[in-house]
Amino acid sequence: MARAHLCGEAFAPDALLAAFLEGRGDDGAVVSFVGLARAASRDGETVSSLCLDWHPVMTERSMLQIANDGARRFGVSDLLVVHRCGEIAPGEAIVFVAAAAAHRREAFLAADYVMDRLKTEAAFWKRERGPKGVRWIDPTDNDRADLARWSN
Amino acid sequence: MTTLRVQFFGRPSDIFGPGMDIDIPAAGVPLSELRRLLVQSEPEASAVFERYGVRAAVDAEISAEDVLVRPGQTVEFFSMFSGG
Repeated sequence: MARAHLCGEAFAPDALLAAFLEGRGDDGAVVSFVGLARAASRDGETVSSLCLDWHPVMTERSMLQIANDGARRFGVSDLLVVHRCGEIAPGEAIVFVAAAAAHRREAFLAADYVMDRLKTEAAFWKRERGPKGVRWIDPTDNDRADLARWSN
Repeated sequence: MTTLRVQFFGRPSDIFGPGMDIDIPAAGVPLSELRRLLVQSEPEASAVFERYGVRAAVDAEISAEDVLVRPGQTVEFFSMFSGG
């Protein structure tokens, strides 16, 4: 089972985790990850906000596909992805991933796998806004190397 | 001829804006021809298309260049994804 939601407003990761933990009597492990908007770019420049453009159909569909693939590949009992879109202030959560499984290894792996694929395969286009204007953020070689870890 | 609405996401939107109307034959055109028409209208798009791996979707499905686009379909061009 996997779920994926696009969220246009700030969300509270702690509340999402609390809800995800409810009724987990059959699971022995829950792993969660929260990605945050940084106040500085990779080059150290100030970032006043992050803007995530999205597609009305492809974005949520790509998120759900990745979540389903992660749940199937690692046999987790539940997997949730919540991803922000639109304008995001530094410190706000961009993405929340939680995986529940009988044992911890599968939950860790599923969350790791889903995050690596979201970085390069979820239909978002990311821009940073700062004192020098707005600039697009493209996937990096590290992002592609992270994704390649799962190719076998 | 008929008018087709084309939308843009990511880098191509810097050149074309969020969307533009383009005239195509009523029988439709392959995506490759649509791409050529876009580059013809804004030559700097050629380098952006190549450098940022710009792909196209027809009716929200990523499509090959030989796919025929017909009036009434939704067409989008977009650069590489960058989520997470």
